[in-house]
Amino acid sequence: MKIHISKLKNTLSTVIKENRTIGIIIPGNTYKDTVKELAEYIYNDRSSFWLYITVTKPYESIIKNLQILSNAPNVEFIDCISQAAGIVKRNGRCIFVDSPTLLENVIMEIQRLLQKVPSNYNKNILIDSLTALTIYNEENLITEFFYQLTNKVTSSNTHLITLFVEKEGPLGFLEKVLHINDEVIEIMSNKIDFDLEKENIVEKEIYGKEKGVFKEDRIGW
Amino acid sequence: MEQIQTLPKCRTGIPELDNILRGGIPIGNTVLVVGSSGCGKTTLCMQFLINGAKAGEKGVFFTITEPLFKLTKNLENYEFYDPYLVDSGILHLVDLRIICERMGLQADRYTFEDASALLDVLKDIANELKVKRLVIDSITALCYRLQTKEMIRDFIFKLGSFLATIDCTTLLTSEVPPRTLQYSLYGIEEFISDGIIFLGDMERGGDLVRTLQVVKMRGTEHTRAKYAMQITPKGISLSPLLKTK
Repeated sequence: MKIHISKLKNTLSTVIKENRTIGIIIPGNTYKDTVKELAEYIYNDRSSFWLYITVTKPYESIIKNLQILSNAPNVEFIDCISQAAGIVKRNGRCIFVDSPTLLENVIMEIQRLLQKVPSNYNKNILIDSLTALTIYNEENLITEFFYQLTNKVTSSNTHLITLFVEKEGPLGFLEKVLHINDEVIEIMSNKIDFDLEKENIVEKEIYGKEKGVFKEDRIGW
Repeated sequence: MEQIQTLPKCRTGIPELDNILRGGIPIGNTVLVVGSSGCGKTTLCMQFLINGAKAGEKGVFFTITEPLFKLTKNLENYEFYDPYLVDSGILHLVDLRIICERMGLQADRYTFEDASALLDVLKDIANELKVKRLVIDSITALCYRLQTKEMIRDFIFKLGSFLATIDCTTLLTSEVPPRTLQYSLYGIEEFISDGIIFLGDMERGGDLVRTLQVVKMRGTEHTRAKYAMQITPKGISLSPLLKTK
């Protein structure tokens, strides 16, 4: 389904059901806004445990940019890139994997952290993003990783939400992995937003002309 | 296909490894834990002993390569280690070099008689302490002192046979050069062992992925698939290795 970014939180609350795997395709120019929306959704979802796996940005940067998550007690992090970049600041809420190439270690850490979660909590994993892993790994390896993770996660009653940033991965990569998700949400790009807005204005102008409304009246619409 | 007779098992306490071994190492087996330096042989063996001790099974760790103070200092980094197990006598850490010194075996190379005397001492210790789990770290360092292949074969065979009679499960660490497909330095240890657990590593994107593979284990069905291994303060964890085509 293709949605506007403002509808993301509502959509998520309806599609996150038992053992669901959800893929979110994000145009590069809406990445920041999408992650912000997701952070708000996570923050408000206090009855659930969230595991935020970051490949795109270091944990420190995420916490700095998404202040809301810095105090959220229901979130823990796995940072796949800071250790390799030598920018680790130890923190009780974040596990630092040695390198984004050690994908099995990511799986092991996920399993270990999920085991700690009390059974009365819903468990969710957010991968930010699978396409960023293609920078460090072969495409086939990531596909296998995603298959393995999806199978493990769904058998342990956990929801998996995976971000795919458009044009970040190699050509054809999305087609290989998207179908593994039970649900795919496509976020409209800001350019489309603008085009849609323009389209609406034109439609309204035509409507206005037909109804004999002056151009200035458009402002209130 | 003929079903392998499944023997009573000694759980390693590493869940994924026990899963690979369909429940654990058959009790009384002598298993070679093979790998190059830093691959996690000692950690695996210690976790095996300590998990057993926590379940009330007495164990003994014979070190030849590392002094005891260094060994315990390293152990303190692991959450699974509990000094109480040593203090209470459920887990024994023994420096084999000190025993050899006390026996007057100070030479670099042992005679047949020296080897026999050492074997008797090891058997006596295992018997007296009533241990159910035993580790020698490393059999390579011990074999270095045994001058011929016959002596090595005789030593390991007799030790393993005796320990099996008292239902003691044994791990012998074997040092091999990095990235080689050999299971022992002297080419004899693997033939008299009941099992081989191979710890290795493989390069991926310039990083080293630790791996574990159960190559052989008499008395149980097991997978021979390669697993990725991680060593954390919690100990060893495993996950199926992702394969690149």
